Amino acid sequence: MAVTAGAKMVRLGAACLLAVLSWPVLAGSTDARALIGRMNEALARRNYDGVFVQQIGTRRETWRIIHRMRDGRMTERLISTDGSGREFVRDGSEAVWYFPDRKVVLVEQRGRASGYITALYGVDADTEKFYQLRSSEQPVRVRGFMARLVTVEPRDALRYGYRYWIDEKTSMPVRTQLVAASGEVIAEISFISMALPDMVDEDLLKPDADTTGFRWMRRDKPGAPSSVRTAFVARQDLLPPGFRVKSFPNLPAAADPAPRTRFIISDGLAWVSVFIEDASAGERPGAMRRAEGLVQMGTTAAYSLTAAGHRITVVGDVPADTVRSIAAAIQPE
Amino acid sequence: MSEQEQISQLSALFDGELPRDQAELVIRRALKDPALRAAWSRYSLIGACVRGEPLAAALPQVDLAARVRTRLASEPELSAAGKADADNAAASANRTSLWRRGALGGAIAASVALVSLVIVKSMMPGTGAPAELTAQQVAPQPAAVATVPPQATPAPLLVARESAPPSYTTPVDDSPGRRSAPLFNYVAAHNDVAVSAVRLAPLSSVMGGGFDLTQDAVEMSAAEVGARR
Repeated sequence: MAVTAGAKMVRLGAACLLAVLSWPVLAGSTDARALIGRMNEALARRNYDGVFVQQIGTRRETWRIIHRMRDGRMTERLISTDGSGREFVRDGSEAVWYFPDRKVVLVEQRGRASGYITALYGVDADTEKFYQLRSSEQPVRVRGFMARLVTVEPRDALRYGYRYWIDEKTSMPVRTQLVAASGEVIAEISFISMALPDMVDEDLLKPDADTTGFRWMRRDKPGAPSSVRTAFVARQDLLPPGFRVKSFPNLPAAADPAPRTRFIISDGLAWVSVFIEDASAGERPGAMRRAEGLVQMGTTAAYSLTAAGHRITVVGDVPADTVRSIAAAIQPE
Repeated sequence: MSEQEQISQLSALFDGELPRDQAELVIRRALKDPALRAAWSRYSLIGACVRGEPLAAALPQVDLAARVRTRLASEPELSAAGKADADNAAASANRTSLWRRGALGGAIAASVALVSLVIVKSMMPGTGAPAELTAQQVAPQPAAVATVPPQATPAPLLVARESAPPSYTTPVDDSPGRRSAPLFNYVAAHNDVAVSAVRLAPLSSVMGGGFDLTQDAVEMSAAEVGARR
């Protein structure tokens, strides 16, 4: 009997040891910040051509992405592999959607052009008040890449966390996850293949679709600010911990003495937009559409309420409770 | 390289069994070759079934059935290969080739059976609406999509090891009736100024057919279109 108990102990000990050994040892935040810095640099400068699998919840899709940076201008093409032939081409501020299955091309004007695979800007020493940064000391294997794992773990449930598997050789993120505070993965991008060419052929950035006979449509830049009758402020004492109003000079309303129609609120990593509209104004083409209550669109949550005759809509890649809290913090001045 | 070998390689790619250098070659070839692209789509569909993804959301039922019929009609040789393999009747000097062809045919036959089950199940009374039907109902749920019961208090994030299957979740949408409201304008405007660490939701939703971007769009004039060509 004693032998059996002893054997059990040995087996248990061996199992624990094996479990510990199979987990990557995570180092402190300095190394993690350095790795994120190198990843941001790579994403800002590199051309890449790869195929990735994207998963949101249980929905999974495979895409090819061709990304070119040339003289500070980004051009990017995304090709769906679901057989529909759908494509998306972003060239500077213009985005063009190709829907061969509907014989439609849609042209849009956009603002920023930071690309589909985005960097993790805003990581600094203050980040650690609300997130814990760690990185694996040794590389781990991810679909044939040898990568260092960086985890950005939220210290509360008001924000999501991030995991990056950063390729040892190129500093490119070969796998990225958005993670709930519970540890569950909300969304993931994972590369099957990735090439980093010095030059990207112009032809590779052109769509495959033959647009003969297609309807061409145009969508003007959405979100033109509407006039508001009341000045609103974001009450710092009511905002979730760590979130603050950020100044964005490229926002039309920022330098305008008129009441604000837009706020950007962030804890440094999670970014949230607040839109304020006159609730009595009629809808017009290209205007914002109203969303009542909470709406979840993939990883993005939106919450809308009416206050003092105005519609307040909060949008961001944050948990639902956070958009609700931020909406409640927007009050008449 | 024969078509069968190309398709075998594609299969290995989807199984994650192809070395990276070969994977890149296969992907490039597949993106150029319509037949291989079709095979790619087929494997995506098989994968979606096996992983228990919401097929109806990704692919309308009518399209699904049509695709299955088209596939059956267009690939009699593959179906025949699958049957031959199942009957164990065919013998060939090239056993490797036969095995590959048989395995492929079997996989396609299995996928067709699985898809058929999904369609039949959606037609049975008492089942959920087609939009809610998932392959999960007819296939064993793999560990990769298993969800962990929510915890009462936030736990430290998983220190992931490569071999640990991740647990996936989707934020709860408590307003399914409002999905038709085009939220996309807000999200697009948000993305224009905000920095998103994982920018995948809007594109996926639009490309996957969840949102109709053309709703607020205006028809371009012939001159505008001409200028772009």
